[in-house]
Amino acid sequence: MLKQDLLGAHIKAIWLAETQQALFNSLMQVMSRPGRLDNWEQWLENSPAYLAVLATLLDGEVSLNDVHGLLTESDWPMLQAKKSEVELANYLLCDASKMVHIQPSLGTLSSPDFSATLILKVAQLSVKQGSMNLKLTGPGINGEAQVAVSGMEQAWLENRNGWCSAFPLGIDCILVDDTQIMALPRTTRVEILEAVHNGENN
Amino acid sequence: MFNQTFSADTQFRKASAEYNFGFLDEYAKKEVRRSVLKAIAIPGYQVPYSSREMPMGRGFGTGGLQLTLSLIGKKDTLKVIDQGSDDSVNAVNLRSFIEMTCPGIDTTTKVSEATLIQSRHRIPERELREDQILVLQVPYPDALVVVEPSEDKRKIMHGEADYSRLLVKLYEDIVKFNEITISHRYPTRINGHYVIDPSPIPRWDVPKLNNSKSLILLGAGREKKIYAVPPYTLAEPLEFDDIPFRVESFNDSTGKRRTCWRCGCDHSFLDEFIDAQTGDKRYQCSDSDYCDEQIKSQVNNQELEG
Ligand SMILES: [Zn+2]
Repeated sequence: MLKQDLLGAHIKAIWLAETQQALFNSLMQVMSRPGRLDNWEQWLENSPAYLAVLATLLDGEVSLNDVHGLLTESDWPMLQAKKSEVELANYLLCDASKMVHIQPSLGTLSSPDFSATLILKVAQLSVKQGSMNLKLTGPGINGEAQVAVSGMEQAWLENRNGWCSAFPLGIDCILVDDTQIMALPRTTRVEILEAVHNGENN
Repeated sequence: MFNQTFSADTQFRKASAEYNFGFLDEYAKKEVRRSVLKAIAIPGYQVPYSSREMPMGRGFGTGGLQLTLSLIGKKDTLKVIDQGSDDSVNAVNLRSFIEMTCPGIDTTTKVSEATLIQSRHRIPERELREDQILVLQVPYPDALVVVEPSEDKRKIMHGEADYSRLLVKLYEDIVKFNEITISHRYPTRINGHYVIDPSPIPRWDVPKLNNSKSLILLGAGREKKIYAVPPYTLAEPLEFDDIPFRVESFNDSTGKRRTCWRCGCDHSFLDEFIDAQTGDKRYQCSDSDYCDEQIKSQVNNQELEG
């Protein structure tokens, strides 16, 4: 379902205001309710889910670092975001199957909102079993929630837990697989229940 | 050639000049949306944003309005409440502005039908659901303003969760008057850290913030702040061991709970009226939708019995 903009060019749904309104509401719900998985398939039209997240949130006022080079050159003018160093970027796009040593902005005590939001691409999110099962507690969760993540280096979660250890400082994570989305705001306590290693051990 | 260019250009300008769905341009909405996500991730923290000029004075709910306009879509059903009523001038004006700028949305006065509820001064009596969002209009967002005039210092105090001076002020007032003197805007601690001004809701509504099923967003247009109480989150009114928090009492001098003269309800927040003719006091549910609902269910019950 391609639509036309005012100048007659075809644009994909994720760049349309009406889609972004729907996607934002989903994003707001998953950020409010860690452990909730929403499926964005009907809006994606082959666009990667991480691109849909960025399209929904970014414009020229904010900065992005594409840590693992997931974006194509043609995505940048559409997103309008400024390219920035990792340490300063408002948004970081990362491939969670590859660990890198980075230091995202954690904000300050007076302005904890001056912190990075990480968009982490994983292989699979599920409410059933996966290679890494997580127990979540904290604001937004009625009791506890369990989710399974596959295709994510455990070190990402360990680093995340470190970055979020001194509230209100911290980072907020949005996890995406091919079509699904979930969030781990800095307030969520994440416990790794079990990790099944496939292949080599580190 | 000139004419063709000219006409394409004017068409584009005309299309741009027409109001965008939701009045705000998409950049303004994105900024509000980014702020909303931060507000949820840092419960109770006042996220600054660049509040836009709205075609009504700040102080008329422009903070709440900008939130609503940034969230609303054609599938939404909106309810607008002002001091418990959908029919007051403020509520009617806000509702018609949103209807005019958001073609395709539905509006309702019934809280059970609404997906998005914008309110001033009250939280509905009926418990909200997970699929509903409450937007509260806020005139003064910072609970610390009564003890610290400098915003920079207040921001540090909030970050450190240092509320000792606020607690002393609160305690002094209570000792002086031997009673909780704060009727509205009761300071409430969210998730054990930030203390918020929960907007001018009565103390009666403060417990509804705690462990709420719905997301609650608060917007202050003049002060350019957005903050949130996420669902299933601890919200505790500040209190002392010897003086616990309590809500307004609606008991008469004999200790009997007053009831709504209209629907007979004995468990809702009541507004007091003076009967112009007799000079007597009258009490009525402040939440008019709740009052109507109770009358309707009584009629239904009578029909079933009869
Ligand atoms: Zn009543």
